[in-house]
Amino acid sequence: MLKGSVYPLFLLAIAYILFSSNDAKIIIAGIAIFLIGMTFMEDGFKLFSGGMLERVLEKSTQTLPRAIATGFLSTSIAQSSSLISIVIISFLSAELITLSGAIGVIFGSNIGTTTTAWIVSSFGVKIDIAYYAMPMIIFGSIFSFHENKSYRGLGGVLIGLGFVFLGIGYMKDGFEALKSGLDLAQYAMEGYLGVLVYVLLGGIATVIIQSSSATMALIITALATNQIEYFNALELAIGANIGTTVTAIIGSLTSNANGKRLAVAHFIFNIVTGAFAIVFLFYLADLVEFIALKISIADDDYAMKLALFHTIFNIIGVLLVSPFTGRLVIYLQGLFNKEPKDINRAKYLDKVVVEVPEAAIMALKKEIENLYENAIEVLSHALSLHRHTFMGLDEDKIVTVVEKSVQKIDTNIDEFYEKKIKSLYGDIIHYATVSQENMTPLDKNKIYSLKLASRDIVEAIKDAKELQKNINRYMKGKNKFIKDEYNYLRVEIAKTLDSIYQIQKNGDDFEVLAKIKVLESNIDKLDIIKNGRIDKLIRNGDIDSKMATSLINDSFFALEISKNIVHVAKLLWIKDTEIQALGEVR
Amino acid sequence: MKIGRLYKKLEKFFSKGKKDEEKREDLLNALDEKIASMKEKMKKSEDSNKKEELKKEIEALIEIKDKIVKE
Repeated sequence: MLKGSVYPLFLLAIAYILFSSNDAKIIIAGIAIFLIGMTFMEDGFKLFSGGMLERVLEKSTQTLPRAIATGFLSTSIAQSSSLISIVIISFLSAELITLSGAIGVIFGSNIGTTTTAWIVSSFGVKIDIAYYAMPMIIFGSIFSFHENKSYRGLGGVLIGLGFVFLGIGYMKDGFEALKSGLDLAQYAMEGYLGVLVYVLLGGIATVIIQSSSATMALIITALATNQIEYFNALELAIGANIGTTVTAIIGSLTSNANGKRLAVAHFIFNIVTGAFAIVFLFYLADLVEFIALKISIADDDYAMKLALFHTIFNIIGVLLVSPFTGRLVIYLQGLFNKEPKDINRAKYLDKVVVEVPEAAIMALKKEIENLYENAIEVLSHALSLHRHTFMGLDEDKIVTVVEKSVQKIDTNIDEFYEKKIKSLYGDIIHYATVSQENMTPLDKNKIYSLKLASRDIVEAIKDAKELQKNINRYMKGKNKFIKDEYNYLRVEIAKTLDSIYQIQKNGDDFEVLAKIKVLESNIDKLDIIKNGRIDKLIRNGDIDSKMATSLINDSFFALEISKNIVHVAKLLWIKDTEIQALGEVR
Repeated sequence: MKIGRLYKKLEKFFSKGKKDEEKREDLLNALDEKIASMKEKMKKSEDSNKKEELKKEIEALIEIKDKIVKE
């Protein structure tokens, strides 16, 4: 984030503080250890959950209350709002969830982040948490060498938690030591000037530390060691909430339209919430006192009261902003129109989507379905057909349509391939390869299948180009027999395309599998050498040898086209990998 | 004793999930159910083309099932 000359200046400032004050050094080391712990926890949780988080987020955002609850729970458990944001932006970009659902998750996530304050205030500052940190780091390290992924994930979470506790311990020690030399509490400010100064300080601290959780830990430890006044701590907490949106906005500058939309939604939420909290700070403080009394928080336990304040004002923020989610969605969609992308390039894929395996797989599948749609158009044209004229008809009617459609359709397949297929195919292969990096073997297998599917589509188009030449040639000729043979090839391919069109609409994997198996057995009829038709035609003198060789080659192309598209159907429209594998049983 | 039980539970939780044999059984059962429901559907259907189509699909699934059993 800090670029150019600012970064060296920042490092110099840190170095100056470190060498000039031993106590400040301990506090800053505490923040650094805390941040390392958060990173370990995030990575460990990802490994431990094994994609469960992504599955929950994908399926639980249908309504706004559900999305808010999901955002709250997932952030509380994962202890990382940035992880949730990454997953949500990917899902939104892959169109797995709606913008309204994504905004709901971000709202809930804001409440979820307040659990860190509860952990720090209830455990971190009350007991010698560093004492428990060591066993956590040791056991975490042992688990992290385990061959099982879940143990390794648990190891990461334990190491992370250990470092977080250790970091809090250091911050606490640093503030205790600092107190003997310098009492920060003497800089306490009252009234609205104090509010503005401390809100600003909280915001700046979060922008520098890049983590509102770490800032909250710092504020709570400073408060627990009486280095700051309670009201100033509340103001710093409001500032931390606002500061985190600055970080999100800066992070979204390199993101896609969806990332920007969510960052602005987050910004609006925190600004509205922050403004409300500043205006009604003293009333909110009274509310905290009232609730603290009801839930038995000790009168002098200001750290816990701060955690309660943090939660209350975020809940109020959700209550204030969520009724306007619909309007927010419309505003954000207008604010960031999806960049007018080249329509022949990938529609669902970009570098944000490929960061999350589930989103990457779904986006790739959608993109290949898009490629298939393009391919169907060109395949139909190669057969001198328009797809809307035969798809969805009964078999007998398909025969009639094919026999009547004798007019050549002027589609240059080479040009079509260059214009509509090549770039899209290239994007699919590129993103499929990039997305594989952090995937499990099972997910890599899915990506492999998707790559095969896209290759099969392209192969089918190339074969259609060969077939098109002789269809156009012999359909115009006078020989009835060769015309019938080419019509037969056209009908069979059209029937296969139609069957796959029906399959796409079927949701049952076993039924799709059964239909594909029947199709596979029908396709074999296209092999004119195997079925003996060519021998009959030559023996009877119905076609000359030139026609015979063309027909042999073209029946092979027709066979290959059909095999490829049926294989594509198997890979794309049988969702369960076990059932998909049954399709390969021969 | 309790620790032993807890360890077993943890071991189960962390184990890779179902064994291949269990998965195969589940798949065969699901396949059987599907075949039975398709047979039922075929019986009820009054459209002869549809009946023929279902018959072929059922045969395809039975063939797959037989091959899995033989493996």
